[in-house]
Amino acid sequence: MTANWYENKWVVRIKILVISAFYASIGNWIFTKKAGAAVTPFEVAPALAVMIFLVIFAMFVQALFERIPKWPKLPTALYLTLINTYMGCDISPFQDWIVSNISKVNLMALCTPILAYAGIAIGKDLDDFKKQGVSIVIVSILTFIGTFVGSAVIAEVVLKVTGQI
Amino acid sequence: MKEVLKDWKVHLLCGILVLAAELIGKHSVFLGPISFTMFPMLYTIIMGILLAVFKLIPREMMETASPYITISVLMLGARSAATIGPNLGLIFSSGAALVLQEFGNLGTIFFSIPIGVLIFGMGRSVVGAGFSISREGSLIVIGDMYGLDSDEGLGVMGGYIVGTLFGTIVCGICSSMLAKTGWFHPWSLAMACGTGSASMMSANVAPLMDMWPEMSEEIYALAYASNTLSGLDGLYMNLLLAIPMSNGLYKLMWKLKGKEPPKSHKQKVEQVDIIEY
Repeated sequence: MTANWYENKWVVRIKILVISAFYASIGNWIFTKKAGAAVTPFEVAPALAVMIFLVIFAMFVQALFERIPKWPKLPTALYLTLINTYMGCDISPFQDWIVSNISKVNLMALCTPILAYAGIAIGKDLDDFKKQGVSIVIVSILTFIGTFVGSAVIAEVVLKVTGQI
Repeated sequence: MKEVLKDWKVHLLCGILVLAAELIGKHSVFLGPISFTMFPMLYTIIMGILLAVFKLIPREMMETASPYITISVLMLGARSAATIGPNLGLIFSSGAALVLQEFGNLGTIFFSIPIGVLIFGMGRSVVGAGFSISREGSLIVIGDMYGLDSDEGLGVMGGYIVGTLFGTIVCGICSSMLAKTGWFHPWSLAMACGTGSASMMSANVAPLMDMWPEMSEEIYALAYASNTLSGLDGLYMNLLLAIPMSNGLYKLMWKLKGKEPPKSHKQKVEQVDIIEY
């Protein structure tokens, strides 16, 4: 198995992260401009670079841990969350920089490139979708609503009972 | 160096979709008593569906783009660096609500199973499609318990496909509508956003952050925490609670109809390999 270097998973990962970050910075610019306070791609570039570094770092930590025999396969997002929680918390020396810079990246602008890739890939499932019965489609859509409403009701009740809101 | 961008068409199309979506911008939609806000990210999905319906993108491009979602979605995780840490206090003080609202994910069962049985007279496939939001974890649980070639398996795969196509759009509209009713505190809605799928979480959370901009970092922190929690407990929740409850409710609903509940059949499906990791 001598894969080409450009098919190496780390190369692909960095490539995709850089491209999505680039699109996010443009999207962020348009989005914030429409909102009245434009944030240029240059302003968010350092934050996006650090975010890419954090993702790669989390993947690297994951790869290291998975060399331990019998280490369970955990999602990358979990490693990333743990690292990020430290980076942004009160005892972290990076907190100020991270909070003031990364907050400039609007979450919605960040989502757009991700869902654009999802949008391109979506056609794969279109033929399978056409085969589904109406009942399965409706029941599936109800599950999204039910899950959301169920959680919101419980959260509201518990927050009220514990006097937080 | 050229080879690294041999899939440039996919990235160019992605860029065009992003630009088009951002230029359209967010818009509020009013349909009689219902109102919600559409965000750029949802347009990219809609444009993707339209491109596929009119067969404007080759299948090869779709296959290429698919693994890129899993990689790029991690940028959302990286974004949480600025929200989770600073809001750790809020997350811990909301601990009880955060943990208990996880059981709210079971709320779906009481919507989907009765409607599936009483209105559509569905057989066992209603358990597969209705016990959860049918993401990867649910496929694994059903595959393990019943096999993906069973009626339950057909149900969960159907749910998976519907979710891939319309999950984000439905989530975005649903959360926007609920936010506008004013029945819920933003924190409660934020916690409800985490259902175990990062893209649905972001579609859920976007209207909330837009509606309460001064609380937006808190909202994202709670949503992200809840989503991480769902990712961790989802498997056990499904295995130990959601499936047994769905089975019970399934029998009860058929009893209400005064009929014997249909049993599961083994299907002949060519395509049980749609799962992606």
